[in-house]
Amino acid sequence: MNLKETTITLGEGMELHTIFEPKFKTNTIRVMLLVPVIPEKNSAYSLAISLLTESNRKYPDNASMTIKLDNMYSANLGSSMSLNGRVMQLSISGGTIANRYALNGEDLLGELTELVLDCIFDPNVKDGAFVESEFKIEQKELLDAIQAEINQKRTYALIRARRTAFEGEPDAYPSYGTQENALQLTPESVYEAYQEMLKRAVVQIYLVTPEKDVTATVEQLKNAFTQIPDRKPEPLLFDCPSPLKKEVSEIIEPMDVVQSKLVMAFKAEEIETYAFKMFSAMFGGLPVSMLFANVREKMSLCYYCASRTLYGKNTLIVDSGVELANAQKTREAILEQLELMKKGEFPDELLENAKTAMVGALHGIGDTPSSCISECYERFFTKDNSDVEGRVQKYLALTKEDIVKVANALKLDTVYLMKQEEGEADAEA
Amino acid sequence: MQKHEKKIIRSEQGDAECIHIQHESGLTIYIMEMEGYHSSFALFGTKYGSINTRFRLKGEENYTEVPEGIAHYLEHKLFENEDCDAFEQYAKTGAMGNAYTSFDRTAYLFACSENFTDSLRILLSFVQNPYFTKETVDKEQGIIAQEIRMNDDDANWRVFFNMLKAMYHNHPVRIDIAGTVESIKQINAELLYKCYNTFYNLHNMVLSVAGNVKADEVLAVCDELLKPCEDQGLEQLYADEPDDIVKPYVEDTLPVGKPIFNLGFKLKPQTGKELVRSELIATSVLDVLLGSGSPFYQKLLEEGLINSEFDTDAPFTGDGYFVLSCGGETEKPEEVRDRIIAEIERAKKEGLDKEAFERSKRVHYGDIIRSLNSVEGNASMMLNAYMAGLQPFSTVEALATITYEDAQKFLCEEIDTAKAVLSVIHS
Repeated sequence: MNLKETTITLGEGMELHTIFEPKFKTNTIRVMLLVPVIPEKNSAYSLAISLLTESNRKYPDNASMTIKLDNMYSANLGSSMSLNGRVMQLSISGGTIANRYALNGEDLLGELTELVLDCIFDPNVKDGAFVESEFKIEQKELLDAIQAEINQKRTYALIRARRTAFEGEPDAYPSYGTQENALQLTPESVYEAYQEMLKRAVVQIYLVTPEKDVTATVEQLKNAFTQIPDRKPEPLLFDCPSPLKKEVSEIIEPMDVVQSKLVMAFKAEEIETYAFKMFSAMFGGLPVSMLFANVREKMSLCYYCASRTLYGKNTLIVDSGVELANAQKTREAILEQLELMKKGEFPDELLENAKTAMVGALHGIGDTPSSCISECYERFFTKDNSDVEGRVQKYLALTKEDIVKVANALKLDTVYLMKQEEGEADAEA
Repeated sequence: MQKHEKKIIRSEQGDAECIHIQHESGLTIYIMEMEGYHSSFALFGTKYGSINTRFRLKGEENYTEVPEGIAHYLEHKLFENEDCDAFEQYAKTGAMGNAYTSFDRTAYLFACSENFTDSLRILLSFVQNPYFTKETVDKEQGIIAQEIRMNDDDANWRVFFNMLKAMYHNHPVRIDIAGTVESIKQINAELLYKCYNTFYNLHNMVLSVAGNVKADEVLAVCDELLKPCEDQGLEQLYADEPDDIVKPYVEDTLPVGKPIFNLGFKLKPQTGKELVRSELIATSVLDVLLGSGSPFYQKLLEEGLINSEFDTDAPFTGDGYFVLSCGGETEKPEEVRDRIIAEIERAKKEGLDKEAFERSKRVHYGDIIRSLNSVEGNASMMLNAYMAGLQPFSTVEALATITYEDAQKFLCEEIDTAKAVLSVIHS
C-alpha cells in the first residue's frame, strides 16, 4: 500500500514528511538527527538525546514532564539511538491520541508539537550547560544501561559478536558508547556536543496524523527547524561493507549460565540488497527456513536458530541458544545448510514461500504509525525511491540463481560462543 | 439468510464496534471490521494454560493430574499434523503464524495482509486436528528443553517466578509455564490427547479476528470447518491456597549488571466485572503512589536508589490469584522495599493524592484509545474479554465508574503490606 505522504525540504539536509492517515486514532511526531559515527562521541550524543526528553525549561524535571504527559491522556515522549552503517541515528518521538478523542476539546497535536519543539530548542539548560541535577540522573542511567548489557544474554551475545566482527570499524560498539567515555562527561561537554549535533546532523522529521488540517503544525515545525544557525550537515555513509577477516575470529566467553549462545557472522564483498534479504528469509528468517526446518525441527538442537541481515555491512548474523555439548554440532549444521544453499539444493517452494512472505509484509505497511515512518525512512537511507508496489516487483523478479549467488558470496568471519560453565569438558567452538 | 445472530457491541468512547456471534458449534466469535486497514489478525484461543493441571469432566469421579508444562507442550505439538505442519501451510498464504501459552490460556494466531480466509482455514483446521505420536512427542523434548534453559538464564523471568514461588504455597501459578526439563520428560501422546480433548472443546474457546476482514466471510469459513461439540462440564480443582505468603524474601544468582528485584503483594483473587474494576483501581493506586510522576519515585531517583528501569507492573490476575508488583534495578533492594511499604502505609493514613488519581484515569483512557489503533491490539482486547468472562470494551466502560473513594478503599482494604514478597537476583 502506498502512503499518502508529502515531503517539504526545509533546508540543506532537512526534510519534513507528513503522512496523512485518517484511520489512525493517534498523532505521532518523530525527529531524527543523523550524524556520522565518531565512537568517542557516542556517549555524549546518547546522553544529550536522552536528556532532551526527560525535562525541558518549561517542565524542568522528570516529575513535571510526566505530569504533563499524563494530562495529555498518556502522551508518550522518548528518545532512542541506534547505528545504521556508519550513521548514528538519534531520534525524539512523541505521540498522543487524536484531537477528536480529547474529552475537553484540547488541541493535543498542537500541544505535542510544542512539547517536542521545546525539548529540542528550549532544553533544560543553564549557563551553557545542562542542569546538573538532571544531568547526574541521566548519566547514572547511561552507566546503568552500559552495565546492564549483560542482563539479556541473547542481546549481549549479539553485541559481543558484532564487536569482534566489525573490530577496527567505527560502528563496532553500541550506540551508547563505553563506561569510560560516559564517566568523563560533564553538563557542559554534553551540551556542547548537543549544539554540535544540531549543526552536523541531517534532519528527517515525520508527522503521522489523522487530522485533516495540519497547516499550523507544519508551520510550527518549519519555523523552528529553519532557525538553527550555522548548519553544516555532514555526508552520511549508510553503505559500508565490512571487510572479511583473513582468518575466522573465534571468541569463547565462559559465563555462569545454563544455556550457551552461538553467534556466527558471515560477510560478502558485494551483495544485491533485495536478493540478500530474500536469502536471509529463506535461510533463517521464516518458520519454514532452512535453519528452522532443519537445525530446530529435524535435529531438535535449539529453540531458536535465526538469521538477519545488517544493512550496508553486507553481513549476515546467525544466532542460536544451545546446550554446550551441541554447540559444535549446531555450528556444523548451520554451515551445512549454507552449503546446500550454495549448491541451490533447496526446494523451489521455499523461494516462492519467501516471496509470498515478503510481499505480505510489504502490503501490511501503513497499518501502524511506526511502519509508515520506517517505510519513509528506509527509502531515504537506501536511496531507493521505489514505492511499495515497485519493491514488490523487485522481490517477485528474484530467481534461484540470485539466491545461490548470495549464498556463494557469504564467507564465515566471526564465531562467538557464550559458554555455559557446566559440562566444560564438552566445550568446542 | 444468516444462520447466526450477529450482536453488535459498540463503544462510544472508543469510537469502535465489534460483532459477537455465538456459533452453533459452541464457539464464541468476535469480529472487528476495521476500515482502511490492509492487514488482519486472528486469534483462536482456549481457556487452558499452565495452571490447569487438575481437572475432571462431568461424570468422572476422579480428578486427572498432569505434568507441569503440558499446556505449553501441547501448543508446540499442535502445529504438526500427519501430512505437514501448519507453518508450511501458512508459508503458502503468506501469513505469519505463531502461538503462545500463558498461565490461563493458549492462543494460536496469525497476521496477514493477503489470503485471509485461506489462512483462517489453516488455523481452524490444525487446531481442531491433533496428531500426536511417540516419535513426534519425543522430538520436541530437545526444543522445549532449550526454551526452558533460555528462560532460566533470563533474569527478569527468574526474578518474577521466584517471587511467585515465595508468594503462593499451592496454587499452580507458582510453576513455570513451560514446566521443567524433568517434568516435560513425563509427557506422552496419551496425556496430550487427554488434555486436548478436555480443554480444546469449542465451548471453552474463542475466535477473535480484527482488521481487513468481513464478518460474513469469517462465518462462512467457521460454518465449513467448526466441528460442533458437546459442553463436557469441565471442572477444575486448585489446591487450597492460604491467604498468607510462603516467605517474604527470596534471592538467586545470575550474571546481571546490578541487582534486579521484584516486589509483589498478594491480594484476594477476584472474578468478572469486579476484577476489571479492581485491575483499573489497582493500576491507578500503584501509579499514584509509585509511578514516575509521583514525589516518591522522584525522591528515590534523586537519591540514586532506583533508576528509570523501576516500574509498576500491570496487575497479574487470573483464576485464584491476584498480584500487584513493581520492580527494577537497585544496589539496595531491601531499602527500596522498606521505603515502598512505608509509602503505602503513609497513604493509607493520609490519603492518596486526588489530583494524581484523576490524572491516572486520563492515562487509562488514553492507553485504551491507543490500543484500539492496531489490528493486533483489537483482536487481543476481544480475546482478553472472553477469557475474563466479559464483553469487549468492558474496561473503557468500567473506567467511567471508578472513583477516588474506590481507590482509597482498595488501598486500605486490599493491599496488605504483611503479604509482600521481595525477590532479588544478583551476580
